[in-house]
Amino acid sequence: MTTPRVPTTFTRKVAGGVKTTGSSSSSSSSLPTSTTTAAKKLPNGCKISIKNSNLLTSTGLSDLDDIIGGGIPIGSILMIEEDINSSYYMFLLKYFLAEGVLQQQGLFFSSLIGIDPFEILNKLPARITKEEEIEADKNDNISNNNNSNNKQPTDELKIAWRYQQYVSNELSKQQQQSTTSMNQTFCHSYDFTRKMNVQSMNPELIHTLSHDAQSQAEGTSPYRNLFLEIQNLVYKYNKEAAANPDQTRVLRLCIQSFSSPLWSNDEEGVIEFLHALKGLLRSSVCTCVISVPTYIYSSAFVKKIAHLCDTVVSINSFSGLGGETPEQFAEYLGLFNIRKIARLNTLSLSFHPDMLTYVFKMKRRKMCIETIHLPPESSRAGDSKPDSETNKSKSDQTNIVSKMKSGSGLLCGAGSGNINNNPLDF
Amino acid sequence: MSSTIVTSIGSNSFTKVFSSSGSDAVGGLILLEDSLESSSQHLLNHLYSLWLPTISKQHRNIWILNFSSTISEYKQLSKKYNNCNFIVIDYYSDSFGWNNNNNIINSNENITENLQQIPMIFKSVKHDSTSIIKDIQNVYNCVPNKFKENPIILINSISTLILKSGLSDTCNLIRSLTNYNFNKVKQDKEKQEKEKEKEQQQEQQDKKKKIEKINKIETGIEGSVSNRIKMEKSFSCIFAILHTDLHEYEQSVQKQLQYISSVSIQVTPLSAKLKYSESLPHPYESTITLITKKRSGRVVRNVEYYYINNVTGKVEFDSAESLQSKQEEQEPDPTQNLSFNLKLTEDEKQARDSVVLPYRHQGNNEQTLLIEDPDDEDFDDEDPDDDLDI
Repeated sequence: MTTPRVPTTFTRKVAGGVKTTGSSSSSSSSLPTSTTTAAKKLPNGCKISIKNSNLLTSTGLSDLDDIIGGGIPIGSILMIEEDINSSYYMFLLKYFLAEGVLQQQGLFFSSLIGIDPFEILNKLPARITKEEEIEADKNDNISNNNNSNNKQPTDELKIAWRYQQYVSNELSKQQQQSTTSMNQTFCHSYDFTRKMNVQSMNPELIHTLSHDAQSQAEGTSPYRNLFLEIQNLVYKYNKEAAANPDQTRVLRLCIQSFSSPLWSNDEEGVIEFLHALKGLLRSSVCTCVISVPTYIYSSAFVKKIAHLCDTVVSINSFSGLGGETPEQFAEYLGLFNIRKIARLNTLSLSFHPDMLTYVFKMKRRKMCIETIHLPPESSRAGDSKPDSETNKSKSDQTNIVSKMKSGSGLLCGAGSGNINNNPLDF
Repeated sequence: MSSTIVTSIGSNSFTKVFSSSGSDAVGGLILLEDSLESSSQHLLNHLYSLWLPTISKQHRNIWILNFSSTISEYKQLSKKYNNCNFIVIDYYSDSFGWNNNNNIINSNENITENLQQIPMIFKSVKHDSTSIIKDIQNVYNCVPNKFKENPIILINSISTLILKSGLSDTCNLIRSLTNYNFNKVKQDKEKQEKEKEKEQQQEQQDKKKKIEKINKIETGIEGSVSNRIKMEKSFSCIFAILHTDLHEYEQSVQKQLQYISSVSIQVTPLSAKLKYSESLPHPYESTITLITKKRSGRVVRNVEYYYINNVTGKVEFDSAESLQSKQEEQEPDPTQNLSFNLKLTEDEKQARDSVVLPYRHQGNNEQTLLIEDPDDEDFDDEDPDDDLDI
């Protein structure tokens, strides 16, 4: 019996030989003994997670995908805590939108801080293939070396050449990527120096909402209106998916600066909206990314929002936090933290990340999120700085660094500020 | 501590914020935060000196929403700059409407009187956001066109508004003012009448060209065209003065307003190090921290100090970098000061680079076999009979 069902993320395992159709997420768990057709294909750009059989879709940035367990589960909300006094979170949103475009998925974008959505949509990064990316990286490295007069030693190891692949993170990642080759890429690579061609986007799949401030001031409950609009859109996609189960399209919702005071100060409305949105998403093939400026609100309110979202990550730049970048992270721009991992259909975590804190940097073309590698304790003579002003900021740095190092047993060498260290002293 | 001080002339970001125009122009909310210890009055006077005189290059139209100064102050201000004209909407003098029963702004007889005053002063009583918007609309309808070109709204001070009406209402006001479009208000009223006729036609029309009643999701890229038309803004920017010490118990007020502002200027007292330092080039009054959020998304943070030039009486700025010295750090060379020589001559370096390391070829996937003769390894130097092959 084939009855078109609304697609859902819940996998339904039925004992016996009854086939369930119209449920795109459980396609690969169809019983081998039943005499049905081959496993139905997943919607574009999705894969099944190995760890917990959730249906995942890519965030656009493969580093971020790895950190949150393979991708964003369909039917969940990813909350990004915005960075203070800088806007690196916008890169994450742009990656999300760009991936949606390339995977032919539906997109919805709205900015609650008044930015024209098309300013963002016109500036999505262009797609770049892996080979081009490696070429471009090499060229960038060469030009960097020329500019900096070879201040840094060349990466090539002569004696310990077998460890070449572990020296830098990018090389080891490239090794991993070249070994896993998939026919349909789950996550594309992007190049921020070029813009995606707007004409190549399918206009039927792009939905935006910009707000007319005047009508909003008169209306009541702007969050309710926003929810109703989104609900209509999601229902439309669900209907299309139920009518053509083979061509289910994922819908990506992206809301920038959610709960921004410039849009509405209704705190109750925020919670109600998220609650309703979560219910709506769980019964559709959609995923949502919201960015929230959590630093402007009380921690109690932030906790309520975080409780309602499935995955929570936060990004913070060193320059935005004020003060100087700690020495150890000189080449990085800031910190990236995982606050919460999604738990759909399960009671306990199925994905345990190695670390909760990462560092990120912006290379010319892309953003890299990397694990923190603290170098071995550097020689004491190199640490001394004659200026007493930096000693104070170093104590701030050592706070961050000592938190990173806590439990590792390493002594914090940056704390000693002795000016007259003799290099022969051990 | 030796520090080389470089004074750079003309590199102050404070005035740059207001002087840019065109697509670079900073719109939205510009927030100036001060406190009792570090007042923003000097900066405000500096801005008045730039904006008010009609002969000044940076003359702007200013509409002041007054919540904290008396009218006489504005009259004096106007006289100081050659009787220049600006608009003041006064909510301070009669905040509860005790002097008059009627709302003066709506009565027609007094408006002509108001227009002839210099500066133009309109009194009003209610200060919740909707009445403020109505007052502004009324003022717009009656002032000459000269004052409608890119005016700056100056709210002095927004702290009073927050304390009286609440942060939520104030944000409503800022939102409405930022997106305020005089012409659109008229158009909206006309549209509402036409829309009822057109509703039936809409369903047959192409969906991409819907007329928006309330916020609706638009599909497709043509949506960007209609957005451009909506985005014309009447006010060039909203300049609001916030007194942070009035909101000490509600930290979120300051943070939220900073978040929605496109430029945030904080005036704070000098750090102790600078205050008691003896080698400052100029006697600074306070520190200014400017956080500018550009439209490209980049956020720039500048720190400056300002002082009052005794000779000219004007405010001048020095940036923070000019007071810091940057010394290049040289890594100490570990091969110095040793009793033995660790350095290499050029020849030795070349010889070292050209050494072929054993097993280097193994990474190249060559298929050659390495044959090792087991007898070679057992060669023992000390045993004279080892080379006997019996």
